[in-house]
Amino acid sequence: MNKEIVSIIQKDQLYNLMLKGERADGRAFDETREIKIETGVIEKAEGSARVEIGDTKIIAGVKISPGTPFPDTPDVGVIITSLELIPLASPEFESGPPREKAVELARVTDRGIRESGAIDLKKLCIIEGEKVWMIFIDIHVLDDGGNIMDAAALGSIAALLTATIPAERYGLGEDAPLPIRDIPVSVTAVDIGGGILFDPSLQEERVANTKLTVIPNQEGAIVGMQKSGNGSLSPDQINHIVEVACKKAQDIREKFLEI
Amino acid sequence: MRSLVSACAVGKVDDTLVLDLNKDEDNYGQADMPIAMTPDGKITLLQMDGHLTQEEFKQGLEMAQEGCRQVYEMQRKALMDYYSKKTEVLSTEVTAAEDVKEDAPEEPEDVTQVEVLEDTEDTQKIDDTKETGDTKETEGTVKTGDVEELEDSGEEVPDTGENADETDGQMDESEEEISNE
Repeated sequence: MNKEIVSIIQKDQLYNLMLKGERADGRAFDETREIKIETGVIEKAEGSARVEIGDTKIIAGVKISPGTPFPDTPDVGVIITSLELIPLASPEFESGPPREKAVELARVTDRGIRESGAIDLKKLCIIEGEKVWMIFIDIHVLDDGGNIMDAAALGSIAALLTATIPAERYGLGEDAPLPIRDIPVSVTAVDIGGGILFDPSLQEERVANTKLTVIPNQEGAIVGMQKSGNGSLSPDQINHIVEVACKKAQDIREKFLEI
Repeated sequence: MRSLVSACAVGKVDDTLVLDLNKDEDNYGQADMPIAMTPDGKITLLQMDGHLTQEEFKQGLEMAQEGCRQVYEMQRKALMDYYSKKTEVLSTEVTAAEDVKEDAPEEPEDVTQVEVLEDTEDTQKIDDTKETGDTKETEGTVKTGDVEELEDSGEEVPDTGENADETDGQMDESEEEISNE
């Protein structure tokens, strides 16, 4: 979690609000900020989406091109996910190679897509052992308003859902939609003084010690989880987060995404 | 330092939840969830990938906690055995050092002797706790009280390792257990 200096007053304020069952922006503990998803925003990408969750803005793009498969998986496509925290998004981000935070966000986003089997990778084989479709998911954070994790995951699946395999460009047959068969949705919560707050704002994220991300798939099973930050969570807190996350993921999926 | 952290993974293989995955289970299984936990039940690490229903997750989390408790007992035993053995060795050294001191009190060996004594005291603290403090409870194991006890018991003057012979064998055993995993 953020190592930046947090004002003690702010910390106390959020804690005291939590004790009263309130949050600084008036939300309920399990209430997500307003979500906006716009797809097809980058013409040159094979798929793209711009996602806003409250003040957080990200843009996700999918590029697809033929490449060589990994020797141990010669007949399946390849997913490569990367995420950039560019300086314009937050005074805390610096240019240069991705640091721990960016790597973690990219890996957890990747985990949700990979482990849910969202992309039918078998169908991305062109010539076994020689040529497969490679899917590059690139996420750029434009403005960090807290909970980049859920925005990144939402952006990447939204972009994938609209992506087309550019087969004609490479003389490999006709263009086709990317074979998507599941929709993972990431739901993140933080612990502030024992209170579990979903979809944390930037302020809440800075104050919290511990964050837990849960990624349910469309049948309500969990395909990925990640706890980050130094603090600890009790088993009861974890079970609570999982339970709420599965419901929230389903709501978000129904509202914004469909195959 | 407040206590130890123990870790254990739970996974799913052939639709069955299993504790402590081996390499094949990890590579070809359906889910993998490592957790780390302190003896008072706070979860400090949690990662998961694969496919677990909510029910399986709940059950898996409990299994992994039980695994952590078992690992904690082994960690604790290994430390205890090691240090009670070391105490025995050290106490011999101390006696030797004292002899030397009597002969030539100005020797720089004095410094080492102080260290050795401190060591002995420290290790004894742990041993005291073992006797007085927590026990075989498997659930919740050591409470925070244990940690305090550990600090408090420092006051008592130790008498050094009597059970070294016994513990010798035990340590080898627990080491074996750990390496087998």
